[in-house]
Amino acid sequence: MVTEASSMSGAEFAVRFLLLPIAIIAIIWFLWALPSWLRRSSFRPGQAWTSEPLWVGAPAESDAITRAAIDSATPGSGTDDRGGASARW
Amino acid sequence: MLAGEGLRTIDVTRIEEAVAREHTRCGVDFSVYVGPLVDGRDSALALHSQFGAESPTTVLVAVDPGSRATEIVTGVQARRWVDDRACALATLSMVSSLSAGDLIGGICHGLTTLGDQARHPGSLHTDLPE
Repeated sequence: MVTEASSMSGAEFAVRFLLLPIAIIAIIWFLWALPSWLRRSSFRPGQAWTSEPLWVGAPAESDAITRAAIDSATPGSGTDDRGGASARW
Repeated sequence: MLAGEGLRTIDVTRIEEAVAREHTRCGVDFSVYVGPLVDGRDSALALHSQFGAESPTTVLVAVDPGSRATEIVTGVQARRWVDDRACALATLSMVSSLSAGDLIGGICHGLTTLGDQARHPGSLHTDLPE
């Protein structure tokens, strides 16, 4: 009596018991890692910011005023009633 | 909104969602700036001044990824709702993510912390009887 396993060729054995499990593991790993890849920012802190400034909730006409505002900032003008905090990393 | 080429659309969307969520949650107007802050705190204050009439009620979260600096500026009125202690707490949560290389996560964590800490008193006097 010839069993199914004994009639299996070497190539078929490799596909069924080696490549197929590896493919399944690879797919599971890809699906597991995909969300973290999507969450990861394309920009890494520490790189020079070469593009235009990003505004979310910008004041009106922010594209024209951003550069002017930064250029017109005078050292020591921070002594007013506004609050906040600063940090570096 | 001005899109920065340094970030992907999905990153900008995450920041927009965080800003909208925290505004809905605590009623404070948040604004996020990501770009150079040449003079540090003074540049952030100058940017905050550009909000004009909305400046007193606006909280600006500014991040300069190049010089690894973050600034939070609260308007005169917003400071009553988001005090300096809350801002310091928010910068701590931001720095923990930013130092790990997670720029968007740092900004979103900062906004969430500010929203958590914001104390926006209700205007009871507007609830007038008929």
